[in-house]
Amino acid sequence: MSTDEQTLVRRSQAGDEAAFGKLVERYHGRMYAVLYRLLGEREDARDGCQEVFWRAWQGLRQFDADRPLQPWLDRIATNYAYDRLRQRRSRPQPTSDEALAHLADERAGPEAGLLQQEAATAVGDAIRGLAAEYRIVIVMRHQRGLTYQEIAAELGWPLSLVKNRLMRARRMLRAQLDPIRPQGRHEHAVQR
Amino acid sequence: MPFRDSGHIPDDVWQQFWDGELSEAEAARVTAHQAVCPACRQAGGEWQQLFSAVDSLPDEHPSAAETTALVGHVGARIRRQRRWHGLAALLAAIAFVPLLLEAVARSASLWQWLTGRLGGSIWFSGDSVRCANRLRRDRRSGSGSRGERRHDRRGDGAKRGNP
Repeated sequence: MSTDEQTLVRRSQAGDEAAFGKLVERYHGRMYAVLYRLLGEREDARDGCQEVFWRAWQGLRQFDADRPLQPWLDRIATNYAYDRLRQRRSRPQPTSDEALAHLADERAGPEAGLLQQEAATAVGDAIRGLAAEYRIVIVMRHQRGLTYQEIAAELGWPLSLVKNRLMRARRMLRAQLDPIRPQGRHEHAVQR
Repeated sequence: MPFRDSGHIPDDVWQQFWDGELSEAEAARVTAHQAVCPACRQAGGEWQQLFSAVDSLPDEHPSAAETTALVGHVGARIRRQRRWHGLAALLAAIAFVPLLLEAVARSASLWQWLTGRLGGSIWFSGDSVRCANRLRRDRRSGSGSRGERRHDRRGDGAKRGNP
């Protein structure tokens, strides 16, 4: 953590509202991205940011200023989003066939940018269609870059459960994103 | 790490491979196997595609206006909380004053009760002081205390008995 950030954290801990405002400015983008990926709606991500920074302000006195702030904020955001997701029922969002068709198409050319964008939309939709316990591990692994151990520690789950949910989540994603793949081509890979 | 009965690399091993969670020896074994097994090479490629698709998802970013609004919102909430805390402290102080006064009154009456109870047995008690004051007052007025009068009567009697 930079000295500048440490100073801002210490000033915020002493009750300096302006210093905390600078931290909010600095981490808002990251926080919004994590919450949007987890919650799937812009409005929810916006509300989530307000709540997460408020919780951060309230818990800041207990935070060790020598440690990096971002993982701590990410943890608050993930816990918040996970609670929200559990409160509301998972709303599976069907992935558009057109986007799926484009995802399978690997042609390069003038349409490549558009195809990539549509593929990203399809992947994003597929993630949003996952139930909370699967979505959270996907985001923690792929967006936050945490290891299995770190995910288990943060969520308080056994390591085996984290692995299991991550594997199942990816299988679901594959099933959603690859419906047009001919059956029977990869039986070898799923023999268990 | 056996590749189970099929002899091919199973899904969970592929996922751990692309997650970088396999040991070096296990990863080397996967790499060696896929080099000689076209089916596993294809399966591995498909898992890799999924990983890169999820990893490369573009992040959503808030606008600058949203960031400014958020800073304002959080700041307002902090100030609101401070106002509430100030008000709560004031109310607590107001509620504390009668309590404090009552505590003072209670401690005064407790002191009186204590001195009243233990007065005879301790030399500095209120009774001792009151008694000494009364003696002094009586001496000054010349009436004398009951004990002095008794002593005087005996003295008179003794005088009368003597020729």
